[in-house]
Amino acid sequence: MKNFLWALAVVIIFGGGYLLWTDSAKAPTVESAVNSETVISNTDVDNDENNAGAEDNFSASVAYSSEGFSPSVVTIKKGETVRFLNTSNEKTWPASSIHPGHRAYPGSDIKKCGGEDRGVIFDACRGLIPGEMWDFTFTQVGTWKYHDHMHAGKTGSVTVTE
Amino acid sequence: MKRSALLLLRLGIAFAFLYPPVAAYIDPFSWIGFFPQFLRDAVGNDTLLLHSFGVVEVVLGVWILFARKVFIPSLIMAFVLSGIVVFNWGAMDIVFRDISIVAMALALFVISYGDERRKSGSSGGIAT
Repeated sequence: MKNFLWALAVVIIFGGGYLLWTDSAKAPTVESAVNSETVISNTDVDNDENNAGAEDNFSASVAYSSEGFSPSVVTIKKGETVRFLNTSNEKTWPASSIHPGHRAYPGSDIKKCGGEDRGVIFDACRGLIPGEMWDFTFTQVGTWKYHDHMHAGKTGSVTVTE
Repeated sequence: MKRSALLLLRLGIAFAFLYPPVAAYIDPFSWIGFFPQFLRDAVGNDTLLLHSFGVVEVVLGVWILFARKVFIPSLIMAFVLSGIVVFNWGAMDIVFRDISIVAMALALFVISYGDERRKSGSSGGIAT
């Protein structure tokens, strides 16, 4: 019995190590995950020329501070945009639940941060610096939980209706 | 039978402490978020904090697997995991499993501490 348990432990350890190793080969790097299309810096907010690529018609705004996301619950309609603004002194990385894979919102996956689908997944794909903001347009109806990838206990939700 | 049950407990708890440091080495951003901000501010270097804690986890994991007096690491593990749950209460979708592991660690503590006391009682001193 004891030998069987040790053999089981060896299989789990080596099997887990193999899965981790193969998984890491596909994981995005932080440097390659910059979402330049929807992220604007605070220094650009008052400059219309620099805001040319930013969404002006967002429907809800969520501020991130040291206390977490506020409001932590927002409701919007399908196709509307939520703006996440970092008002804290730390970086924040809003992304779909569940940490750390970010796969709850349909189509989202942290592994897509470095790929072509980067612009359509509910994932900032990097830490937003203080004052920076990130917009995401919700096209799927439902209640979508999200969190700060860099502070996993800070969470919120967006309810999207027809 | 009791030895096998204890071994299963030790393997299970050890895995919960040996997996995270390896995973954190490969993907640190997915793990640093579980530390409370005051601790990150106090240390001032997320990477240092993450990997230092990883070393502690490995020591505890190896201790509970191979060393004696496992009631010591099991109690420390229960406290560590309780802290993770408390400081990440908002992430209950993830940390709910930690509550189960806390119970496992406490069970191991109760059993191994009882065994140690019986040993020390029969031999006239604490076993080493």
